[in-house]
Amino acid sequence: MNRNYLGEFEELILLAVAVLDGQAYGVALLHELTEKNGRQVRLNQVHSALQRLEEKGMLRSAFGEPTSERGGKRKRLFTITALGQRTLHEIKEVRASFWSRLPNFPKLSITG
Amino acid sequence: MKNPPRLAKRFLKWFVAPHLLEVIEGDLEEEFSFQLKSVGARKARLRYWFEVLGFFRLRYIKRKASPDFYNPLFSQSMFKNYFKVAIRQLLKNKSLSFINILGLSLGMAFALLIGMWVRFEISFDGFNQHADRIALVMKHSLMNNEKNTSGSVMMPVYDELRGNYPEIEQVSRLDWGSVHSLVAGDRKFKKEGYYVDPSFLKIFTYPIIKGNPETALTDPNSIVLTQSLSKAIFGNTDPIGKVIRIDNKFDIQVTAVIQDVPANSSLQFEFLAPFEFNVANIPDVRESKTRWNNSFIGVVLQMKEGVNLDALSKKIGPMLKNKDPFIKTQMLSLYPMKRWHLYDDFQEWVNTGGQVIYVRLFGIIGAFVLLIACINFMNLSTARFEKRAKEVGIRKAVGSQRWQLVAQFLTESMLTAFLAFILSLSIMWLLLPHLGELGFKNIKLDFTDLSLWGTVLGVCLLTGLLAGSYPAAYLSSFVPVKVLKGKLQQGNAPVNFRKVLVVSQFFISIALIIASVIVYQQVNFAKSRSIGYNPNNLITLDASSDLIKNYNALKYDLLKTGHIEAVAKASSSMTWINNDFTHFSWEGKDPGNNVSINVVMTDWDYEKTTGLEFIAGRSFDKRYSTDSAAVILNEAALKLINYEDPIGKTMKLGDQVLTIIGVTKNVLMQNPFGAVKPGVILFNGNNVNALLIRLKDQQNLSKALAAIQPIVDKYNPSVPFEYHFADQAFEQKFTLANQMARLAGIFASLSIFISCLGLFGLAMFMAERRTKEITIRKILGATVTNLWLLLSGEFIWLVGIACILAAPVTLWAMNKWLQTYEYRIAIQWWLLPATFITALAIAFATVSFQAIKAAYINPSQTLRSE
Repeated sequence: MNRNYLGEFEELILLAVAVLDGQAYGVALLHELTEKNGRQVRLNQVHSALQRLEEKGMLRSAFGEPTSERGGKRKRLFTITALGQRTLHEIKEVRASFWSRLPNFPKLSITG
Repeated sequence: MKNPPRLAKRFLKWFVAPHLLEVIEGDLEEEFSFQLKSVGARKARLRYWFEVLGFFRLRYIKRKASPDFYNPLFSQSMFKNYFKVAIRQLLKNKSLSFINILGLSLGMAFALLIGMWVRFEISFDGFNQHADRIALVMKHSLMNNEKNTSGSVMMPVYDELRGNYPEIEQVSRLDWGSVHSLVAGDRKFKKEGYYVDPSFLKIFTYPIIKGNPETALTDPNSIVLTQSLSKAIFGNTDPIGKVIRIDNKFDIQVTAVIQDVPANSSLQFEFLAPFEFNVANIPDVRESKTRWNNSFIGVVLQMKEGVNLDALSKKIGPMLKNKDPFIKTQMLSLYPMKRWHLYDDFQEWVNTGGQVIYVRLFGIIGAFVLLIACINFMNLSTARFEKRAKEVGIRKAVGSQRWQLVAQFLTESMLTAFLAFILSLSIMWLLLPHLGELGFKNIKLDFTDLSLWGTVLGVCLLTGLLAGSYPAAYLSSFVPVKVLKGKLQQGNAPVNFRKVLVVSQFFISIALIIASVIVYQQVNFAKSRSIGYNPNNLITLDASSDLIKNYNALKYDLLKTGHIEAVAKASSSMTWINNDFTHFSWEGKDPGNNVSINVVMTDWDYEKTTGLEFIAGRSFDKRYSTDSAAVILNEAALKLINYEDPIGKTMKLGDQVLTIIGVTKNVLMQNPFGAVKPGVILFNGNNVNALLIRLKDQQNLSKALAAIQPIVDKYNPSVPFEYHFADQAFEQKFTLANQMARLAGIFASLSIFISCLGLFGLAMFMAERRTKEITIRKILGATVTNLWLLLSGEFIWLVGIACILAAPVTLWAMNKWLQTYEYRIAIQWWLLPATFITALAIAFATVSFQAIKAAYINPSQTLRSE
């Protein structure tokens, strides 16, 4: 195991950050996840996942501009690093290799 | 309702680490405005709370570590700077620094002296290598419905313990010490020593200098001397094998010399002799070997390693059961050595405490005195905060961190504490020679003792930290912007804190003043009570066998000198009672009552010698041959017996019928704080322990003594001439109480002095701070008196509050203390107002000096300075 282990939630966040492409910050991610995933997420979960990912070097962050709806507070904008991208690809490949070996693939796709 | 809940916001601000706060706050706010639109205000607010609480996790609470881990506290240049600033501050405010250092050094000196005394008291018997395995056998018995505990047991106890208990390694008898005459050649001494068994030297650690410890006490006719006694008797010659004549009867040989007994030993003696010597030479002792009803020796033992003292104590407990038909209830127990000195009090068979309360009391007082001095320092440091505020502001503005400021202020307080410490050493140096008078004889400043140095420096360091902690914490908390704008308002918190400190200082001082006055009154009250005889010009000689034998000739010769008024012999001196009889009976005595009555045995001239005052009847008289069966009562005894007209009536001592021939006033012979017990005087010239000699009034004392000495020496050749004055012996009963009174007085004056020092400093600051206000008031027409009262009033209030708080606490504590004495004063009503007025007057005088000085300032000088 020479790569960092990612939890399911962390993986989602990492993907979301990559998708939002430079516009990812706490509330934006929160809404993204709630809409696409359909489950109730708390802000602190998002923040801690972001922190952990940043500690692992898969994300980096910078302050954005303050806006009035934030009460004049700045955003922290996250972008994915090369390591983060590589990790996402690896995860995808691992999954893909399993999917390809699944014998009754069509059946699953019908029920799923 | 359009805003997030304020409480939640404040809560978030409080717990979230500052470096994370902005982003989290922003996200929450944004989410809130989103929710506001989608679900409405009420739900949005609830949701906000929910999210805020979600962040209550260690991950968000933990503060970021300081970015630079480089620690300037230990960098030399920073430290140099702290030090330089500290010295400049001290020099800048010379009078204030002086007040600080003087107060601290006084507090430290006394705290250290008390600490040294406490250390000495705690060290008692600790020099014994086996101290934790050594115990004394105690006997608990039930007599007269009173539970007594005594260290005297019967001789067979020793044999039982030695033979039948495998847990015991060594056991020794001990005769509790007595004074004996020792003569070698033409040198004679009266010295106190113990008769012990050979294992005594194995149980206790009294190092042998010369001789063989194994055999030193095995021969009954041997003696072990301490080094200084050996030097006194034999000079520098080798004493081993030399012969000493003891009690003018027996010759014994010196077999060993031990080091002098240390001052912190519970057992104090100058020589040891074998207990077997007593057994061989005193028939009474020999016969007691198998008697279970004569308790007169002590037994000390050393347990084997790993033996549980309580278990052994329980095991030997029932040994005395059914041994003495007259005392049914009695048992033994073990009293461990480490409790001998500090816990020497037994009540109801239980070891309750003793000396240790003084150790605790003084320890607390010492800490308080030091605390008062520290409070001064804190008060004065926070009081001048305005002057330092700008400095703090600039330091912070140029990048000083808070803990750097703390380090700086602590350096200042440490420096002050260290200077105070040096001064306190010289104060101690000055005080040490006088400590003996206060009862602290054994304190020495031994600076070769490293642990002492450690403790002393520890106290110094602790004082510095304690005194500097509050100013450091307070001054370093200033916000630079406010300070530099000059907007700094002195908040109420430090002012109130300072007031609390002043009140507590005076609380302690006032409590100590009241306590010392009450102790002093109580001692004087007991000293001036009627004691029933005349102690002046009365001297006592210890009766030796030679003096008793030659009593009549001695008396004749003494009276012939013309310096002597009267001579009598008695069973006890005037300041102690040796005998206590229970087998008296009288008409109407309740048969169940077995109260004991003090007994003095004497023959003729006792009343003339002691100056006894008779209420009724007469004393023993040679003209009445029937006086051999006569008895004289004291008032308390008369009250007990309750005869209407006692003279001529009879009472019984066992079977002997005694006729009452006189009643005297109560004679105070024992505890001066207790009631006089019922006592009688019996006619019996055979039990003599003291010879009483009354000198003629207004005689030249030294002439009279010079006349007595050759006569006593003639009849008592083996004992050096020694005498006691009865009034001095009586005074000795007050040693402890006098000590307490004097100490309480010293502590009280010290604490009030240090408190006033602080008050003086504070007043100085207040006056300085309010210079402009005073000047303006003056211009507007305020008189000097107005200004004086204005400036003093605040402090007087504080002292007043301290008075009101201190009164009930002190009265309660002192009442409790007085309860321990049977013969005691009632606390007078005027004491409290008198103390309060004194305290207020002292405080007022202290403050007034500064207040008046400030009020007299010429307005033109101060207003011009703008």
